[in-house]
Amino acid sequence: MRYIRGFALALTLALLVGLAGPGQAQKALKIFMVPKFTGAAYFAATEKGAKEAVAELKGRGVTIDFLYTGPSVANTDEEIRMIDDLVAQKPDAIIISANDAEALVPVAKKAKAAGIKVITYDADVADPTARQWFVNQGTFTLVGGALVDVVAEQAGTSARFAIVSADPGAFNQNSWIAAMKARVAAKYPKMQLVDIRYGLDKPAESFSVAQDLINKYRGQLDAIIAPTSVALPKVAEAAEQAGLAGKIVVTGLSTPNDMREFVKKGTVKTVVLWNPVDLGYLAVYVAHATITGALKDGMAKQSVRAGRLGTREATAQLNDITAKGPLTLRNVILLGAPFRFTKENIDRFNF
Amino acid sequence: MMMKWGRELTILAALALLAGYLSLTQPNFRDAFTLSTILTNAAYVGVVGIGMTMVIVAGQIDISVGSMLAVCALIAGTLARAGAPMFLVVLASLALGLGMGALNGALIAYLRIPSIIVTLATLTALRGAIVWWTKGYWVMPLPPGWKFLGTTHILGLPLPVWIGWTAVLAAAYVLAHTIIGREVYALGSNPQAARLAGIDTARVTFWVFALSGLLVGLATMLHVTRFSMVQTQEGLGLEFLVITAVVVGGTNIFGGSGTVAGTYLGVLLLTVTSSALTFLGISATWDQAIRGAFILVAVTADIVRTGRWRQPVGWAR
Amino acid sequence: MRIRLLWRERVLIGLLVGSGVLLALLSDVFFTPANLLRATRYAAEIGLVALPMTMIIISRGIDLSVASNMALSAMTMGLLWQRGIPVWPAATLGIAAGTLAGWLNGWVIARVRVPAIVVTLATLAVYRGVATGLSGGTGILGFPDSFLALGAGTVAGVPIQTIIWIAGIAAAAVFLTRTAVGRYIYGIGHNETALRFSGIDVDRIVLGLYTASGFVSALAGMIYAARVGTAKSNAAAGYELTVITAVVLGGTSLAGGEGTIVGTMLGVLIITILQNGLTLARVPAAVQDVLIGTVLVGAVLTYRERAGRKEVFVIAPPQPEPHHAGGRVLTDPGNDLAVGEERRNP
Repeated sequence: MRYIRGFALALTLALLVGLAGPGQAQKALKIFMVPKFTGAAYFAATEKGAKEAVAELKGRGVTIDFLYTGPSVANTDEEIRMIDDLVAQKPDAIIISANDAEALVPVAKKAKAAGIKVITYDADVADPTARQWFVNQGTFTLVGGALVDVVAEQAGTSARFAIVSADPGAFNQNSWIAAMKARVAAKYPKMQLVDIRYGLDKPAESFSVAQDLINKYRGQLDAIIAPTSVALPKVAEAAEQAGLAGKIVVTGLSTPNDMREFVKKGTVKTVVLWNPVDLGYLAVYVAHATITGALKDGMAKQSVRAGRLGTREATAQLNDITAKGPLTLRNVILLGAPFRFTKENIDRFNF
Repeated sequence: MMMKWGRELTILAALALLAGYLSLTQPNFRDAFTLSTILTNAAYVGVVGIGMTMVIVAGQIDISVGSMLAVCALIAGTLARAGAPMFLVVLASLALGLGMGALNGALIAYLRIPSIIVTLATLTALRGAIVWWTKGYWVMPLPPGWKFLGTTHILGLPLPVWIGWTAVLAAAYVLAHTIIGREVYALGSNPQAARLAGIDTARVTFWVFALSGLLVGLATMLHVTRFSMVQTQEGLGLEFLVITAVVVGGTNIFGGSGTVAGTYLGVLLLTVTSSALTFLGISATWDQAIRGAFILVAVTADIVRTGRWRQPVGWAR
Repeated sequence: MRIRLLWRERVLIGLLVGSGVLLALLSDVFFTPANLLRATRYAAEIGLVALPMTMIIISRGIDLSVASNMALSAMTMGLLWQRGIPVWPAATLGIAAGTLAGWLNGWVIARVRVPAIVVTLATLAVYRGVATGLSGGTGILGFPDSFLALGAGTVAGVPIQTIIWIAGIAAAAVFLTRTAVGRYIYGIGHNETALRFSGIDVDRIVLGLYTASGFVSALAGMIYAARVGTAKSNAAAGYELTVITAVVLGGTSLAGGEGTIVGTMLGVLIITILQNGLTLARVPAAVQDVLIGTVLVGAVLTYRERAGRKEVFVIAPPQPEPHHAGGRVLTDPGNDLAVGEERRNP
């Protein structure tokens, strides 16, 4: 039965050939985009925006060899390894959303040292010198503040609220939480953060954790914030099944497509986010501008042209609050203020 | 009878202690809604646990149940969205689970590849396939009939709880009182002897995995019909939870002994513990350590009770 | 010293070379010294841990806690360093902590006689859980360059961890094939009772194996922390499955009694170059997972058909049969058996 072995081998090899991507393009700008993981609608939306920008630039005579790839589920080790491998292909620029802000610093520095322009988007690396620019969808301060404002508007300025987060070690989650606490301390001294629990980005756990919160604080909880798109629909579901839809304010970060049903039903009146399609779109323009030199490294007060978005300011310093305390973000390009999706406007968006 | 049900009674005692403590110190714990929540969350895990108990009793292991659940869930949701009637959707989930289980079973029983390798490959391949196919997009919106199975209440408890209990009782009966049940235990106890006694070990192994897959298909419908959308992250980490419950429930990891009742009690214990963490305000970062400690305690209790583990040879190492 | 290659290992070499050729065709960056040497950094981490794992699996055991051990050791070092202990002593203490964790595994397995799969499944959760609890989930960073060189530095162009790995391979291969204890390890996997009756202290060997696994995992944990630059409790998540995949791919049977260091290293290399080359060939990660799973199953299928009818019930052990006590080495025309292996009766 030797031919079975040979056949299996041949089949595997044929599969590999068949699945290989396109060959290397010559003389085109090579830009690689690495999201935290590919298995999320949010990142698929950033890909959509990025490809839109690539097509627009092509229409202006700039050929870009664009690749969007990343781990299939959130895995820091895999992301580091993939970026390391991609760096070996000597792209002109690499756009990264870091699963772990600190762990990705060495590989980002390596890329930068090799002459590759490193742009971070959505989730920055911990060391700003490891990359040229951070395309920020919104500072933690603005986003966390918006979430708290929503709670204050809908549940009152002395509301008691809880947070359902993702992973206790996630930098951006903890930074949003820090920003929320700061906002409460500054503007709503009578508001109370009652508890924080973690759904670990798993739907079943997020649901049971939300249920536990609702059960434990029965009658003493006015709002739940879920700054994670995996947990927010489950929190809404838990509120509905406890018969508290509309009585407990549920809000958080998620995409309009994911939350449309809940918003229309009224369980969730407002969803906060930014436009990830625009984020990916802007990231590519920033990468291009950095490659051509239109955007110079580290110079204060520049602006970058980003197609249909107009121009965006590139600031050398921006103050923000993070999980590690107040931080001055360096070399940031801000997409804009957080956006609120409500029943009135949610149908205008498709991502 | 005490000796035979020793383990189950121990877990019941632990459950009672924990639940009792929580009820006394946390006023909101003891109401009917919380109880319903716990039972409902445990229902689908329990059903998967039935299959896993059979698999482990037969001397094998299956770490692909989480990925199988996700596949069944996504296909079921897609079919429902395409307009298929719910009974067809349920049937499809069962059939798909059966099919995937049968694939595992065929590779393990007839091609004789070790179960840990087959189910590891299935786990990775299926998860990869899901991500590739859906690109992370969730399946929604779902038609109104979708939630019927998950949210209809009878006597105050949702359907999944009743179906789960029925499944557990049926499985317990089959394993304990039918010939096929005996064969599964015999297979796990001593495969050589089982074969010499005329049991078709390959066939039994195959069907154990196929049935386990079918149960995953059932569990999927008990779980996802409670929600308005099917997320691609469903089932992540399910296998570790279920295997913990099986081991805590007294099933011998070598095979040959174990009960579905014990597993179900194990599932309940783990579910209550999870809620306990929230109620007691214990940081979730200790959750994993606590789960591991459970296994160690359960296993040590076995040593203490029987004087010594099953035998020193083989996978004792 | 002649090195006999088993039939299995020849298949693996063929697979390695075949994949390498294909991947080189798919990307012009793949087959460059720079890329390949860089890939060995990743291979070294998996490969180091795979060395004691091979021996453990040969002895019919398993250690699922290796990755959690890596995380715990790295976290111990990080926490100590944070409290002011200089980095190299902190690293040594971290390795000591990991070794102790491995010893604990071994003690419960060998002395209390709890099955390895249960113990290491529990410690997989407990060790990583303790690391998470102690650190609250946040990472420690800012290690001095001298430490980071462990993960990022080179000597004469070869990455430091690769050199450590090669030294480890040599030591492990010599130990397993040329020493008495190495032969006993095969014996434990084959027929433990017989070995006990022969007066050999099986418990001590087993204890040593798991302690060694703890030590090597801790070392790999340091290398990991140096490469990534942080000590975090989610370090090396899932590595244990990759290591076991590599060991099984390399021809070690989970039923115990057979396996070689050479085979395991070939398995590690195959997985590494597949991951590296497929990424360079722009194959999506999800597809890579499917492919590697297929390769694994295909390889095991191939070994199966050649190795004859053997009962492989992974969890439940076959009962020892009296006429095998003591064991006999049968003739080996097909070059199927490694030194110390015995063909099981059909």
